[in-house]
Amino acid sequence: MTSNIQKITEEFKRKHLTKYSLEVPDDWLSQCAEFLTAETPGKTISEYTDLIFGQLLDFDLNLIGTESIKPIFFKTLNGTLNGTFFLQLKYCIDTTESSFSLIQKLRGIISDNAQVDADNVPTATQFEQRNVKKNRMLAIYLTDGKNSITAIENRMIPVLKDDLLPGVKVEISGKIPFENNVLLLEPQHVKVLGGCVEEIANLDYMLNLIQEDIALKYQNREDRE
Amino acid sequence: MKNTLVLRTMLKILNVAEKNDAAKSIAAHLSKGTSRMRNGDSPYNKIYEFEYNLFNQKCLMVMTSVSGHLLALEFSKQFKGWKSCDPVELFHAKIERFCPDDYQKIKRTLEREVRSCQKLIIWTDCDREGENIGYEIIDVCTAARSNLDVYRAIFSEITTPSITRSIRDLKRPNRLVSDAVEVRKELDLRIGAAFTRFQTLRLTKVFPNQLAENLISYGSCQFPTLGFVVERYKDRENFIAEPFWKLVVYHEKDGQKVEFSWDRVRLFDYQVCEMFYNRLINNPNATVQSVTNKPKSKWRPVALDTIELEKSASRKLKISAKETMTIAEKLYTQGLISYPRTETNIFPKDFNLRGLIENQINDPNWGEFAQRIVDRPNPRNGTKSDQAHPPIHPTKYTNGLQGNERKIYEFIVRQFLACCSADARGSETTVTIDINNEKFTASGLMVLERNYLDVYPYEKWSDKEIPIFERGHVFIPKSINLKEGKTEPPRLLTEADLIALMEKHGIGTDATHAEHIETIKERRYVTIEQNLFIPAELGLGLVEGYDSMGYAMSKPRLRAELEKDLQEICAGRKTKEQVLEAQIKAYEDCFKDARSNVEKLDQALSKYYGAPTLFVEDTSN
Ligand SMILES: [Mg+2]
Repeated sequence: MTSNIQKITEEFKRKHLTKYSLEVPDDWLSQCAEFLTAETPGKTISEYTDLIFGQLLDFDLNLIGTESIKPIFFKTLNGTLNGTFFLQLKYCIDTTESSFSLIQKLRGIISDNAQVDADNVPTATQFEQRNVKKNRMLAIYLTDGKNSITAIENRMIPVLKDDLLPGVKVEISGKIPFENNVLLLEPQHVKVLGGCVEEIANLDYMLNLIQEDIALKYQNREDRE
Repeated sequence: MKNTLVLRTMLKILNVAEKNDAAKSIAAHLSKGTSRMRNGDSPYNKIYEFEYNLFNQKCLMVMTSVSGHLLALEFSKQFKGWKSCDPVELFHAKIERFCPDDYQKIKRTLEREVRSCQKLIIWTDCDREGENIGYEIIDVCTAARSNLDVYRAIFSEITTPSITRSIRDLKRPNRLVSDAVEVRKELDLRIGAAFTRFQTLRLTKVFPNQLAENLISYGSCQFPTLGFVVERYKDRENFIAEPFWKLVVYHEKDGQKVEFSWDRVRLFDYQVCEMFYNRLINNPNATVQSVTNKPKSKWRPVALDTIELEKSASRKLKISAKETMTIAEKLYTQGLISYPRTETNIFPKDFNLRGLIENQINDPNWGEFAQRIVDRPNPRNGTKSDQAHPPIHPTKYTNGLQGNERKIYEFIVRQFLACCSADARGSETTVTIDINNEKFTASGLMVLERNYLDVYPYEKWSDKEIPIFERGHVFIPKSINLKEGKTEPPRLLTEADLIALMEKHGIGTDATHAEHIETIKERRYVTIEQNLFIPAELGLGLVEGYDSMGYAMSKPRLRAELEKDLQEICAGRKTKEQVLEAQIKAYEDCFKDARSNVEKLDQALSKYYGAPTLFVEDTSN
């Protein structure tokens, strides 16, 4: 490792990694630094560290396989998570609605015709019910690179939307309670950092994840029985 | 002077109705039962004669009828044979109007009778088809006698007041409305024949074992109708069922059980739902947050139009739309109900509802109810009007009907009385509780006034008891449960759903929905099991085939545009020629596309029928 690369990686750790409970393997870092200095020579060390951070945003954490959250989060069912975490979104979805309806919505194939039901002409009662809009409650599925974390919006978090694509990086920070290993997020806990992991930032991949999870739900249900 | 007096014999007027029954009833109403009957050439279409004061003089009225359409369209001889031409030529082939053999006798009668008449009054049904039949009659009659003065009687029911009103206020026939039907008939012939020949010639060859003897018909209405059935079937096939979980709180108070349901309704993540469950179990104190009483009503039915009649009969009486309309036509010709083909669900302000309700007060079953509302009829109106006919309603009382005729008549009466009465009223009690910040509600219902429900056994509404709770009260529920469920796919279409979809997309008219449904059944494109429509292999294959061409053959758009154009003709905003040209082009393009992609049709069907046989063009002639 040349001294310049070493400087860059050390500066990166100091500037970006002290903030997060996140470990990035040294060879990933130095390779990244080598690549960047070769691609875009002549920048300052500080500029290179920011570029590395940008690379990290666009990189699939699953390939690095860090386990930043495991030691605190999975020890007990209930507790408080304290710190700042750099996590990757699998997907988030309104858990009061079926995933299938989201799949159809995202594919743009919602057929109104499927709603036509002559046996169920709305009565006065149904009309009223229809106007009562149920509050959404997003379930947010995150990964630290190895472990899957389930969170919900305990209060509506406007920056989260169900069309955010897999791979987007999210910062979770503060003292966050969890129950039954579900993180209870408030708007101030969440920051969407962005990033685009080319290989997985697409609808097909996300729909696959959702369909796998539907299958998993059935599997888990059988296991509980 | 003397000569002219001699020549001025009694004015003779030819009257023609759409069916013999109608002619007979109309003659009876106008002549107060004194008309004389004689035979015409057709044994089914009698001639009724009577005197009547009209145009300020005593006239001799000759009343006869046709049997629906008198003329038909067909391709000229050189295009008639299936192998006589390339089907694409049918979009422009010469078409002739002719009188089929079955109707020659009716035509002869008209020609003979009109020769001695100075005026002609058209009494066909007052809808688009009726207007067109009217012009067929006019064309036959004016060819036999020129200088004929032609009138149109406008009426919605065959009762004395309505018929006398219409003859006092005769109008002229409406050429635009007839033109729209003429265009529809021509397009149906061209499009239907071209596609039917094309796909039949192809598929019977390619799948000789399964389809050799089949007529694989195509119609621009029947295909979208089939398309709806297939679409719903596929919605079910592609549906992914998912488990969900919910919390339910049970309690018992004062010997009454009550179930509270969760405001979050259900969650699709077990872990999350279990989290809430644990929270509640750890601290199960429930606090009553609110107890409210609200008036609640159940709406009486809206004034009846054709589509609602068909849907209701199918759902509530289990009588198909086709049979319902046949029966309704018959009840109409007998003067028992108003014209059953109507898009109107608003009663005009000055409508004599009172008199119509009064007709029913002696019935042992609903007479008492009729009596109750006769003084203050208060119809629930919808929002649609075709500006031609009122909503369907009984015009005369009868208790002499049997079987399904009785059921339909009874439904129309009960529906009418219910529509003219009042909504059912009740009081709803809603109790909201809070357990650890999660909200649950339970509600009870007390029916206070049944009103229309007393005459409308097709709908139910009943009390639901709930114990008395007080705000602020804290209790520990008897149990809190984590329950699992599973999402259900949309169910297959019923006939009522299918009609609703056709209406939604403008496929056919209220007059033809039932026929198109009948056609896809007859062609075995669909089967029906337990009142639900399932596409058959042939139906599935055809729709999949055309879909895979990326062409909207089974989708409603093309046909809906055609129907819109027809309305434009009626409104005088487009001409017959404009619409014909545009529509023929649209369908011809579609045809050419389908033909060049025909292998896709073979492929789709081979999913069900096995490998296709090589297609060899038949050049023998
Ligand atoms: Mg008719």
